[in-house]
Amino acid sequence: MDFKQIQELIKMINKSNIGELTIEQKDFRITIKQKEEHVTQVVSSVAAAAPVAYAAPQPAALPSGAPAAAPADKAKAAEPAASNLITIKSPMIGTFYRKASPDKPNFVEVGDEVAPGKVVCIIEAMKLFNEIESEVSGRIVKVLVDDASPVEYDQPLFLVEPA
Amino acid sequence: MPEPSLYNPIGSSFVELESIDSTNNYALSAIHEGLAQHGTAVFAHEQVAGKGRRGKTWLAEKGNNLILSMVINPSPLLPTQQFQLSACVAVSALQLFQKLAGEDTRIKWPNDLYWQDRKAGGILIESIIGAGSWKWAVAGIGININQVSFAGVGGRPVSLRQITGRQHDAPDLARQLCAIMDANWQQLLTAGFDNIYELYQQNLYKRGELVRLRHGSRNFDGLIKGVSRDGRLQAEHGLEESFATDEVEWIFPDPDRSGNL
Repeated sequence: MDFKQIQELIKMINKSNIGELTIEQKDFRITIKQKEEHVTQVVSSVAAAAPVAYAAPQPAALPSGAPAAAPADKAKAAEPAASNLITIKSPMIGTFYRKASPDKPNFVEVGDEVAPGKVVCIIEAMKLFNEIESEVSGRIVKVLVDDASPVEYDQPLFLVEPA
Repeated sequence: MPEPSLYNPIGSSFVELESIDSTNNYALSAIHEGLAQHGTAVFAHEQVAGKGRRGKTWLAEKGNNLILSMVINPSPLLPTQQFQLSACVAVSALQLFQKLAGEDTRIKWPNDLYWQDRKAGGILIESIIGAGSWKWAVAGIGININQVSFAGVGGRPVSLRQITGRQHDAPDLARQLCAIMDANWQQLLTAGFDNIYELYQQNLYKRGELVRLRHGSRNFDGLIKGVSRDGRLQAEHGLEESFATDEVEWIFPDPDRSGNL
């Protein structure tokens, strides 16, 4: 199963009433779960769709066989383990900006809460300015790139501790 | 947000404002509030905080210019195909201007409008990317129409009136530009990028000529060969190289005009 198929699958599930779906093929296994509030949400919107879309990369990233996340040790919840963190990546080659213009504050700071649809940065590519929205709900724990530096396609930009 | 539609002709909803900070900001706010649709066009008689590249302001006298932002649903294109929209907007502005000002109209890479060696207009596209897909684009265009004094602005800008010797109706030209853009956008979606790309190449400013470029700390004279399909400038100086906008600077003979593209 390639990334495109996984994306299609997520879109399909997102539009359906399916709460959880697991598919196994040889040594590959993927589980996609909908958050409860999104299952019951009647009006679909872009904002509602995004968190579900993000549920996939976690299970998909596991090498093989591992069923969805092991029960988390609640005592450790305050100290986010690196493996729990979600990476926001650059969708394109370009220049990374943390603010809308030089005289404006940064879109996000470490510690800020983000939610799907929240703009986290701008990537300029060929004089075209792209506001990049968070796809996840959570808290920014690290900004990985300096303001106004060049970034590559898929380069990690932020680490987010999922809510 | 409402389901974005691809089928409203661009300009079918035409918002005409007396005065606004920036038509791009107005359109982007409408998008963030879920109120914008593909095809919505925002025209302003006056823009008090017009946007250029990274905070550079664009000065325009009230009532004398074409100041327009078009809301586009670019989702049929990938975020990596943005040059196709950029070229589509540039070619549309070129076609409008060329119709009135003649053959000396050119596109200066990547998306300024030039007449002879003078700037007649500029384009600033801002967009929104979420979940890996290109959700919205706002194509902002500013074209000098009836303004004849450009005091304090470097590089000898030029207006349509200075070229044609008569007044023009800016809102009417903005509507025409929407119609041209709509036809080009429909063509891009149905027939692909070839025709727009060809028009862009044919009308590229200084194509086939030597220009002075700065790449990092080195200056060199490069022969402008064209642009690649993803929008990189192709210049030849011994060997052929291609550049993205943040990699080369274009050094004009006129010192006022040097600076980031």
